[in-house]
Amino acid sequence: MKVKTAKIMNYPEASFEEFSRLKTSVMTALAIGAAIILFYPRSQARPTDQRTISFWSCSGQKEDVPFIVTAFNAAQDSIRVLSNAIPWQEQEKKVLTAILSDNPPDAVSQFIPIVKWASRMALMPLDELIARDDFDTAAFYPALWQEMKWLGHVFGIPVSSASFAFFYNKKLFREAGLDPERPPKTWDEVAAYTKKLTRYDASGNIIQMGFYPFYKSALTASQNSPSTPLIIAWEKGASFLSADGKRVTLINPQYVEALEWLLDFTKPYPVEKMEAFSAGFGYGDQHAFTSEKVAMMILPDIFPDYIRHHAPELDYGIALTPTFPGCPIASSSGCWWLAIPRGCKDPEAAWEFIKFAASKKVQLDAYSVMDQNLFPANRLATADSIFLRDGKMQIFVTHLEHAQSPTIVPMAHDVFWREFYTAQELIVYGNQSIEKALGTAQTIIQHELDKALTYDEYVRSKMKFFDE
Amino acid sequence: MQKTTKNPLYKKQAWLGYLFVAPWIIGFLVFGLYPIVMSFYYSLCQYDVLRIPQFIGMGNYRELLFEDPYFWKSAWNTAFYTFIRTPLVVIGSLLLAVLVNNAMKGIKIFRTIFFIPSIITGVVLSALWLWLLNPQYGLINSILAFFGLPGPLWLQSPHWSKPSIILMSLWSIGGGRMLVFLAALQGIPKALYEVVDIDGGGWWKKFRYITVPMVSPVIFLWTVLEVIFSFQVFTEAYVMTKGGPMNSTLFYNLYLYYKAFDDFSMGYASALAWLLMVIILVVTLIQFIVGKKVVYYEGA
Amino acid sequence: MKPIRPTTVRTFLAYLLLVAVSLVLIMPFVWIISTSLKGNESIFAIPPKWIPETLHWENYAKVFTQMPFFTYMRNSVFISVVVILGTVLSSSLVAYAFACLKWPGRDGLFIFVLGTMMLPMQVTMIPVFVLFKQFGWLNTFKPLIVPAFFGGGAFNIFLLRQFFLTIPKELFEAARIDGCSEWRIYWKIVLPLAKPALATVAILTFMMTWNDFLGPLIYLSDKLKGTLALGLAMFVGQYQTEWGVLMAASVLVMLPVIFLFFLFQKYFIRGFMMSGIKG
Repeated sequence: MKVKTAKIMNYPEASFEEFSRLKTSVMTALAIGAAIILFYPRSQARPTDQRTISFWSCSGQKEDVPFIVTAFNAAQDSIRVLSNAIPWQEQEKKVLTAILSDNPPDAVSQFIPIVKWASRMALMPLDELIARDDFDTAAFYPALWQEMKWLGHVFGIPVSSASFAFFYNKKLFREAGLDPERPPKTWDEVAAYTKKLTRYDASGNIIQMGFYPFYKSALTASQNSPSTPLIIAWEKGASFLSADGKRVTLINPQYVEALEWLLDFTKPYPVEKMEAFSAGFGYGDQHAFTSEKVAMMILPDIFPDYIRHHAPELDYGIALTPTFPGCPIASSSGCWWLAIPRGCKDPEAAWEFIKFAASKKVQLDAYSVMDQNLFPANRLATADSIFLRDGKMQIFVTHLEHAQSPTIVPMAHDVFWREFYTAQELIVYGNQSIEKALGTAQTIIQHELDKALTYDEYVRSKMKFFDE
Repeated sequence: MQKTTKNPLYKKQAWLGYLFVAPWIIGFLVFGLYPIVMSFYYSLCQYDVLRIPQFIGMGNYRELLFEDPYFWKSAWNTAFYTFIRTPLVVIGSLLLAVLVNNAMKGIKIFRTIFFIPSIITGVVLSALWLWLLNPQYGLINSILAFFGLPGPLWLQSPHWSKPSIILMSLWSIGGGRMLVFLAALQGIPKALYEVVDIDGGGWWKKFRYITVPMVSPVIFLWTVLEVIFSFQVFTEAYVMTKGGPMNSTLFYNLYLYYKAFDDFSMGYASALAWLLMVIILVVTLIQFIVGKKVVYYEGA
Repeated sequence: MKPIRPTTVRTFLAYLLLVAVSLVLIMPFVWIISTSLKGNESIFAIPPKWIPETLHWENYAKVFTQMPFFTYMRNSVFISVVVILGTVLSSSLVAYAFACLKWPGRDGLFIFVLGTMMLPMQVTMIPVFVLFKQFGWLNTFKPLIVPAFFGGGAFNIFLLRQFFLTIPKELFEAARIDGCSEWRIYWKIVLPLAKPALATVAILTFMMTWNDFLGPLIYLSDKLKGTLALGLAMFVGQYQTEWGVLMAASVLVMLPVIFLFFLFQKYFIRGFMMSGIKG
């Protein structure tokens, strides 16, 4: 029968060799598979006399294991922390699925607004532990501590934050005939200085700018600078959310003034040229400030180290953020916090770890040891002379005292920021009027907030949140 | 062959048909049914994954069709991307496959070189293209400048952002798609080409009357597949542009992702997903109807 | 298409075209290799340098110290090999049913199968996760491997179906008249004929599994169970990314795929040409 079919197909006998060759390759593959199974990695056995807790942090730091973990493990013997790094961009999915799997880490370090997790019952309230151990909560900066609360309960402990200050390039100041020891104190001075500091090439492209106004989401993120109109609005006393947290007030007089100021500022510079100019902003030695493209910028506290690393010859100064006559300065915070997910196996041990990490001594140690570390959240640490020793840090401390949290609308955080930046882009780049752009944005944010609040009420009527 | 159901051969085939298809059916019942049913249920609810769903009926669908400007915006962006990219990419791969369908010396190396760009993915791919398409110092604009042409702002311009992403796709025309076309080309019997030779036809006649029809099942395959994939474009926009500038690259799936994992509005995202599926299904069915008339199956 | 018997001019033009296209297509890869040898200072230098002044080979060494490369590779290989096996076997079976057998409901079911590709996975991701949690398969390789044996995915089924449809019906008729069982036809006639198609499915599946990042991310918790794709993602940080090392790691991760592709070429050169059926 075999032969017959072969003849009909006019097929060479070789096809059956092919078939057995296929068989061999399948067998080989199975053999390889079996071999690999034998060498399959087994989970590490846990030492039984120690309590072990797992801790998740973010990848991308130079240290594979965070300093606080190593320090904690070294400082005592009864609890051992196993640290796991998760990819920075995927934190949320990973933590989400971990909580769903009823097998979350015992302690987790995150950057996103804590309300996102707290309101979804993902974290354990810490009030009892705080009260029991008499934990000093006044040690933390107000802007950071405020963020840790939801519905009157505390859900996390701040560990570090970003703090910002106004950096300016002394060399470029000199070249433009400005006094390098007199940085601008008001935003109008910034505008005036910018006119002197902006240079063009032969074809009319901008090659250097005094101050670049940040109004685009991707750009503010890549250049580590906050949104300019937001800072101005905060300085003028803007409030974006009603006190009861139910009404969004994106359209408020101070923010509108800030946007009008922004439009005024950008008038002398063609928007397309500015866009092309900002397209050249990169990382490291191509960062707008380190590459001396922009002479004045609001930058975070890691930048002195950053500049020393990438452009050690840069001649720059740090000053208070400019403001308006009669208005206080404003700054942004950005909090990293530690929390205990619900369903964790050993909350007591996790709590010991968290207290340790947030303590003054450890924060100081961490700051000195790590490269480009973030600002400690513990005020006692930042008031210490060790911290202030190189003089540059005092100004960041001042700014953090005046900082506001970027978690402006906790229950609709992401929508708020998406709409916030879309509106800014449409106003500056898309030539939409301020009323129209803000109006659309506010409607959308309000709508999402309403939905979130309604849903939240519904859920809380059905599920028990706190064991009171 | 007799087609009546009384034909014993046909009956046996029917039984065997079910047997052979059983792995998929079992797999679907075990792994597929529950998630699909649940996602449909969620689309009728407000739900944030970590808490309980709140049933709201057609509320999500009503909102996204009648009140949500981003639904329409993202649908338009996605349609633009899909219908421009698909023909470019399918034709490009086919032409490349024809080019490498021979036994010239070193052809293996050429095929491998063509294949390599298609396996660059993720962060690396995005970093690469952010650099290539940089308006100031990217390679593409440098080459354009060399020819005296003005270079657009590419990913930073609301008009050029989608074409930029489509341009990126073109580098993958030597990938798996080309491979499939190659396999199909190699199944075309020599004899058919010899007929054209005898008739005195040239390469165009061969291509138009032999190659294309014989490969049409695979062309059809890839057109349908590319439409399905293009409608779900996500990664490039997520990593490189985050939907900007000015929402010009806010694709449907990206908007869905924001709703699902940033806003935790899983109910709304599920509604978006089901609506997308319906749209893709309709477009695919249309393609099948057209395909019946246009595609040539040797085995039919 | 028959192998070209080239005239000199034709060969020259063909080679010219091949080289031109190659230069354009290989350019991204060249940039990646070039960046992998750069130190952090010159990565974003303007004007961009193609050949770095100093070759930082240590970027490659860093890949091995900053991630458990061989462990991850072992895991990736294991998962990929098993998935390829499962996919090729089960998708060819199912495709055979759709293309070569007649049974009631066949075409309707096929459209249904296609339909499963159309629902964005973002919304089924969570219920699927919950499902696997109920099975107790979390933190194992099972969620990544087992589904491959049950149909191998609508994509592969569709692909193979189209291929099988190009096989002339006469072959089947002749075999059936001969008394061949369907299984035999599948195993001894169709599969060997479809080798290029199967090889393609293997390569494409390998590519997808090798680069799959989301699955390992949400299903694997132990550090030692990670895959290479997951390892790559670790190089990207909030404030800093070591681009040189990331590129080096990517090159290393891409090499096996390129190697496999090159190997599988043999299924495409010889080709399984049917010499045509007379009568």
